[in-house]
Parts: sequence; structure tokens; C-alpha cells
Amino acid sequence: MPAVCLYFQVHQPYRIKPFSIYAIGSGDDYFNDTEIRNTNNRYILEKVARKSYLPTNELLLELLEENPQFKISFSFSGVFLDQCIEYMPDVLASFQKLIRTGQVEVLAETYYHSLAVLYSEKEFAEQVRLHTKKIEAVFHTTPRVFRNTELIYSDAIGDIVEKLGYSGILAEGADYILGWKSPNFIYTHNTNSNLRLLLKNYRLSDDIAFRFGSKEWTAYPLTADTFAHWIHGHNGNADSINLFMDFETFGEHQWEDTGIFEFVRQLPQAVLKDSDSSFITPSEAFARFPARESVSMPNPVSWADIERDLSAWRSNPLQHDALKEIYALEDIVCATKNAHLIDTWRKLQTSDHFYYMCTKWFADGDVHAYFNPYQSPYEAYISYMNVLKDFEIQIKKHISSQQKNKLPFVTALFHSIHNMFNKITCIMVH
Amino acid sequence: MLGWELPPHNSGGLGVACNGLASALTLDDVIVSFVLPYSGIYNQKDWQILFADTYFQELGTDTSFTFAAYKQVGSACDISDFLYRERNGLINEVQKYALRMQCIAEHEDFDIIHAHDWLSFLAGITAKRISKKPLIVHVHATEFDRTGGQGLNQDVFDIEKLGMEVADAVITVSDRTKRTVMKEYGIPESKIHVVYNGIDTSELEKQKIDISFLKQIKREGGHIVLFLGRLTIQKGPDYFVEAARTVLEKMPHTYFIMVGSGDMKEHIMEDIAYSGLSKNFVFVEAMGPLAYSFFSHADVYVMPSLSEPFGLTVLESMRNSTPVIVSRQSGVSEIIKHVLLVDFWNTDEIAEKILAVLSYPALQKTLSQNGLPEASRINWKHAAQTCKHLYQSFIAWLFPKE
Repeated sequence: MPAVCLYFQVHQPYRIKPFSIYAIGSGDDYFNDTEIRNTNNRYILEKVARKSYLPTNELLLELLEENPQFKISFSFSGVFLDQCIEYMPDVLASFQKLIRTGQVEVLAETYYHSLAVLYSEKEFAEQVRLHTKKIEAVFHTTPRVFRNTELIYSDAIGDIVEKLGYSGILAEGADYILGWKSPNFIYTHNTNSNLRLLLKNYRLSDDIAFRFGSKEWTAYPLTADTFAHWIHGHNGNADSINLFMDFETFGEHQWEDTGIFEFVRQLPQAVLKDSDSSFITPSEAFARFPARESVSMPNPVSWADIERDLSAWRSNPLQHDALKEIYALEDIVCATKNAHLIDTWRKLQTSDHFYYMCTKWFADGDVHAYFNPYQSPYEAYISYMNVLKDFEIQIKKHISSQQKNKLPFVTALFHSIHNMFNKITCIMVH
Repeated sequence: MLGWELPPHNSGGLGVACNGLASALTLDDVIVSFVLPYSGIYNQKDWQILFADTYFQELGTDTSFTFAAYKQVGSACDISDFLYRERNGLINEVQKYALRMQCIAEHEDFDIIHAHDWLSFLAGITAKRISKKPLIVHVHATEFDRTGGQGLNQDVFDIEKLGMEVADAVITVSDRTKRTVMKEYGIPESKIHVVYNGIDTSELEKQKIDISFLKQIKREGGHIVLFLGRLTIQKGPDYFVEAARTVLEKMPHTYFIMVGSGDMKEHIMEDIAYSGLSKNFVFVEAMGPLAYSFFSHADVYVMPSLSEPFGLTVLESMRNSTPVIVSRQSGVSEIIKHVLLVDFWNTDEIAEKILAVLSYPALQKTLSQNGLPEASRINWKHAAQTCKHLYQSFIAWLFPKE
């Protein structure tokens, strides 16, 4: 009987507020929109918490306590945790309660939910380090399995992650990548057998994440029993069925009136009805099942859109330009050693900024439009670039003020050398 | 099909739209006889053009036609008020057109009357009264759009309202115009059909020319911002000038080209001269292919209309890979996405978006890369199909199959 591995991504970016070209140079905060609209981060967090995080966590806690065999896993972006601490500590507390049950695994990722791995290995490693530190501080646990931003993975990324000391990583398991291979087994990196992969069963995952509330879907309305039946049907040809999705699926993408909460409530019992079935976390999956063979992903693969590649973040000139500009600042920003500037630079790396600039399918009014707090990808880009121009000015201001501060020191040094020279001359004269 | 103008003798988008629709209908096997109020020389077309002013002579009948004579043959109807009230200028021309239409309606064979804009509505009503054939009025613009809601011409409004009321169906060029027709003219929604305009730039493309002074500006590193349309209140040229002022503060090497004429031109030129900005403005009067040639030279085209039922020039600009900033108060923005939207009154926003396009090459590139295919998908074929379906539904209703 296959085991079920549930993994949820929990992330909220620091969205930048509509930033006018006239505000460039003002040094105004980029992330503190206070108007009631979708670029107001506190407003969004409160809304999603009310609809999704709080009711889902309450339900999950109940289920974990009722069923000691029920297991789940999460990855939290650092910027999500920061926003919880800043705006809604009770949301953070509700997650902490789940972790404390001991039935929940927390995964590693980049603090800023960034695409850093594609641009700077050094920066990527630093963001992973910061994230681990944060998870240890907030949840008192050390992540052992890695999950990159939006499940972005390639052979090259696998090598980088393995170098950081991870032996397991999560990735997308779409048909076109796996071919005849099944996502329900564990694989190894194409050349590096130290790194093992847990792949998303996209069909069963998307049944919950995307199709659940769709009245046109033949399986609508989906019950936990039917879903468990599908899982049990894999008997003999699956080790682990990996259901990976956004945590906001519950209550935000699938609204309460779709019956999603009722579905979740009944899922553990429905799956466990078959006594051979179980729930596992990624670490347990890697420990329990052997790797079947290696799998190669030469080009980056993600879990986004039907393309499942990088095109959601990097396909048009707007996105290429914005990404090029932000990563071009690495040396100059890091050289300032100014914590605020470095943090701002990293917040601007969050992948969502580039996702909002995506023009793919824009005309069809699809999911990108739904999740875009800006009126269009063009507006997203304009605000972002205006912010970047302002940010560059702030860096320059900081550097020139540093130089001014250094001046008295240089003068003093000069004076002391001058004095010493005088003394030496005196001695020599005498 | 009843119209007022056709290219090359057209004053704006109405003639272009009529030409595009009539050609596409012909390709779709609809036989079109297009009536114009005045004779002129037009290129050979696949469809017939009838001239109301010379139709009598061609028939060899009595040309001593007067209003009084018409009065005797015409039955008492609600349009008589419009036809015989003494009017000057344009309304008088519209009256004459309607009177002359009587003869055409009597002698020509047709199934449907399709009249474009208020200028031909009275003629359309006349044709309907005489032939008893269904009348479709096509609203390309309303008096509310033309005047920005201020200083409405009561005669024009009354003719529009009467035309829409008498008509068996009303076609509007956008959802926006449909709402105006419902709200301001009290026409029931069930009678209104939205048919978005198409675009056919093939002829214009052939005749496109290079404009050397614009090329010179570009060579010297200057930016070109284009306004193209009548300089009347509807098109918002004054908002364009306001936005230009702000742009010039940040990017002084920018040139604003205003193509068109209209009653606001003098005022705008004076205003610019007073502000000392004349060297950054160029005024051009051009129509047809010459006007069209400006698009490909511009860095960005701005259409800050107060109320634009459709906005064909937006598509023309996109076909030239030139990014567009267009007012949200336009019909075309209902069907295209790869443009920058603004509120016409928010000149800071207009200026900001002009500056963004000029400052960020990636923005310019993405807008043009995505805009060209998007605008290219919009053609007259689809508009013609919708019209044809409407015709067929009337014909099926009038002549049910036995």
C-alpha cells in the first residue's frame, strides 16, 4: 500500500506598493502600503489568515491529535514568518502548535523565496543559511530536506543543493519530464547518487489544488472516500504518493463553500481505513524507500502553469530586465554591510515580483491575472523599476555618507603621520 | 448600407470603419449597396456605391424635387418634424440626405437597411418607411462621446434617439457605448448588439512613407510622443499637453507630435507658445496614409480621450509595434490588454506612463512584442460575421421557410 506524503508551501511576499516615478529619490518605504488594496501586505495576510491559515490550522491540529499516524510537512518562507511576527503573531502561534505535535516536518528553502539559485550560488547559500536559522529560532527544529522556490529544480540546482549538505529535495513530477517513469517512487540525481528526489504526483495534487471546486469537473464533488480510493488503487505500483500544493489551497484558492474543509477533515480516516496505508513526511519517505533509479532534468522545471518551467518568472523582456538589474546590485549592496539595505535588496528578489510581470496568457485573464495585485504586468514592472531606481539612489547616498564619516579618520591619520615625521626630523636634527 | 463618408474623402474613423465592414461583408457573400449623400471619386470596390445627390439624374426622372413635393408623397410620421423644420448647416444636409433616400428606397432592391451613425439615421428611417424592410442602426459614436457630455446638440441627440427607437436593432461598437445607449437614450438591452470594429491596414501599409524630421529627432537621441486625432474636446488634446509639461521637466529632449485638426487647435497652440514649449511641439494636419505613417516613427502613442466608443487608432499603433497609452474611457480597452491604461483626467498618470515607456526599453519592447500579434488578431471578418448573423435572423423572421 502506498504511503501519502502531504507537503504544503506557505509563503507571502512583501509586495511593493504602486511606486510612482516621481517618488524616485524619496527613500520612501517600498513595502508598507496602507491603502485597502492588494499591495497592502498586512491586509492580504489578514484576509488569507481569516479565510485559510487560521481555520485550516485549527482543523489540522484536531486531526493530528486525533490520528497519531497523520503526518504533514511544510515549508515556510522567511518573509512569510516575518510578516506573521509583524502583523499576526497568532497565525505564527497556530503553526507552532502544529509543529509541536511532532507529526510535522519543516523543510528548508530560501529565506526570501527567491530565484537566487539561478543567479548567484553565494547569495543562494546565504539565503538558505538565514532560513535555517529562522526556522530553528521559530520552530526549534532543523530542516533536513530541501525544497527550492516554486519547486524549481534542475540537475545543476541539484548539485548546488547537495553541496549545501542536503540529501533529499522535492521536485515536480509532470509527465513530460518523467516520460514513462512514475512520480510515486524515489529517484536520485542524474549523476550524484547522494541526492535523492521526491516528486510531485501532479494529477492527484491538482485534483485538490485546482479542480476540487470546479463544477465542470467529472469528479465533482470530490469526497475523501473517492480520493482515498484513488490512492489505494495504486497498490503495488507506488511507494509514496506525493501531494504537494500551496497551503492557501484550503480556504483561499478553494473557498470554504466548495467543501474543502470537510474534505480535509475526512481525508486522514479515509486513507487510513486501509490498515496498510500510511502518511509520511519527506524525511521518512527517504528513509523508508529505496531510490529506484536516477532522473535527469537538464532544464529547470517548476510546478508553475502548464509549462512547468521558468516562464512564469522569466519569459518576457520585462522579467529578464528586472532580474538582471536586481542581481547586478549584489556586489555593491553586500559591500555596504548595511543590514537594512541588504534586507531590502533581498526582499526585492522574491520571485512573486517577477511572476506579476508575466504577460503569458495575460490576455486570457488566467491565474496570473487572478494572483496579480497590480492592474497589469506592465504596472507591476513600472513600480518595480521605479523602486529599483530609488534603491540605487539610497545605496549611493549610503556610500557617500560612509565616505564622509571616514574623512575625519583619514585626516587624523594624516596628522599623526605628520607629527611622527616631525618628531623623527627633530630627533635627527638633534 | 447607408453611410456618410468613405475613404479617401473621410474626416475620421467613421468612413474607415464603414469601408472595412462593407468589404468584409462582401467577402462573406453579402451583397452591399453603399449609399453616400454626395457623389465623389472612389477607388474601384467589390461593392456598389450609390450617390444620393445624383441618383435622380441617373434614373432620368424629374429632378425638380423639393421639400414640398416630398411632403405630399410622404405619410405623416414622427420624422416629418425633423425633415421639414427649417435647419441650417449639417442638420440641413442630413435632411436632404433623408429626402433623397426616398427615391433610392423605391428603386433599389434590398433586404436589410444598415445605417451608420446619426448622419444617416433619418435616411435609414425613410428607407424603412418606404420599403418596410428592417432597419439596423450602427452607433459608432454618440453625442455624449463627441461633446464630453457638455453642450449637447439637441437636434443631434433627438435624431440619434429617434433612429435607435425606430430601428429594429441597434449595433454599438463597444460595451461602453452599449451602456451609454441604454442609459442616455433609454434603449432596451435586448435590442442592442455589440460588434467590435476590426482593422485593415493593408492599404495604409502600402502607402506608408518615411518622415525625415522624425528620423532626425531619433538620430539625435530625442524621444517622440504622438497624439493623433481631431483636436476636439472628445479626444482630450489638452490633457495630452498637460502631461507633456510634466514629461518635459524630467526628459527635456522629448518631442510631442500632434497630428490632426479641430476647434481646439488654436487655443492649444497659444497655450504652448505662452509656456515657451513651442520647440518641443509639432503640429501636423494629415489624413489617411500620411497620418498613418506617424505611428511607426513614434516611441509611444497617447490617446487620452474623454470618451472613445472604440478607438481604431490604438490598433493602428499596435500594428506598427508602437506602444500605446490609452484612456480607460475607451471601447477598445475592452478587447485589448497589451497597452497602458490611464484615466484621461489624471495627467500625472499619463506623464508617468510616458516617462516609463521612454525610460525603460524593456517596457517598450514587451508592449510592442505582445501588442503586434494581439492587434493583428482583430480584423473585420469577425465583425462582418456578427452582422451577417443579425441580418439572417431578420430575414428568417420575415421570410419563414415553408
